[in-house]
Amino acid sequence: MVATVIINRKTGAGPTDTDITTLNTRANAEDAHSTAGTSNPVRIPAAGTNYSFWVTTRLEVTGGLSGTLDNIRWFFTGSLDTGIGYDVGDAPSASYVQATGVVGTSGDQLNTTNHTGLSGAPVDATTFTSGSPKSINGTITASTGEVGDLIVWQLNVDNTASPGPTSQVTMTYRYDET
Amino acid sequence: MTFSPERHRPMYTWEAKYRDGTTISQLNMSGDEISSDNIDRDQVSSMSILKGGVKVVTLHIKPGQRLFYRRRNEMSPGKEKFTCHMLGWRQRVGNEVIESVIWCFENDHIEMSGFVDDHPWFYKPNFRSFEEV
Repeated sequence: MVATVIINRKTGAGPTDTDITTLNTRANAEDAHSTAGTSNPVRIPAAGTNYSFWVTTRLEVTGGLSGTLDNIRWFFTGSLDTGIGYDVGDAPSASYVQATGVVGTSGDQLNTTNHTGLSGAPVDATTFTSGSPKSINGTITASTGEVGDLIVWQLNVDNTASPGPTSQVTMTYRYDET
Repeated sequence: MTFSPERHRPMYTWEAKYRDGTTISQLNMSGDEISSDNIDRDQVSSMSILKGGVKVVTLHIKPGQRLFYRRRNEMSPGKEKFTCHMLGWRQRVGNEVIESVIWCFENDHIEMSGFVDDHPWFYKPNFRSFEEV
């Protein structure tokens, strides 16, 4: 059966889920979803690196699945602007950690110290391409609910970055249904 | 987003034919959808993908060959979901497992290929127990 699947972005301590399936979402210096928020951009540092607050996403089946959904994969497409980096990691579903940092300036760096739920050290997201995607644990059969590990990613900004919104990049999920 | 059966009625569906001439379809007599897991692997002789009820491609299966099917989906925030239907068979010949796979994309494009690990679409599924040979 054709499952209805959405992509949720998780924010807050709860966390709160926002369905971003039909939207874009911004990574700013705040733990909030927006499609065009400009109140709390990541500040370009004079030296070193500033970070967006990390962004957490997860798939959710909202209906229609009578078989099994599995073989979940994730990859990045697009070109990063000068001075911008994009790191990604994953965490078990029960290991959500709210993004932290200084609102309006920089998030805390995404690493296993600041995000204790991560399965390992984050890596450059551009290494995960359509032909070499990141595999995500998770399966769900004939039911509804969230599925798969959490994907956690963050933008890095150094002093060579230009002010204003960065070029849009795309995160893509793939999954199989029986 | 709220699930709406009407809105999600698929344009592309599958239909399998058994050796006794009977068929099983993704949409049953009531219009409800069933999983391809329900296809009897021991009795199936062919499986077709239909678009709007019209056959697009058919895979024929001989005794000893094991059917598998997946709907492989790709989705990104802000973009329309895209689907490729993977239908194929597996057969053990001596110590080797041979496979034949048809990839039917929902843009009316069809390809045939074995599994390719680093291909965006042609990688292996997680085989179910009833698909093992």
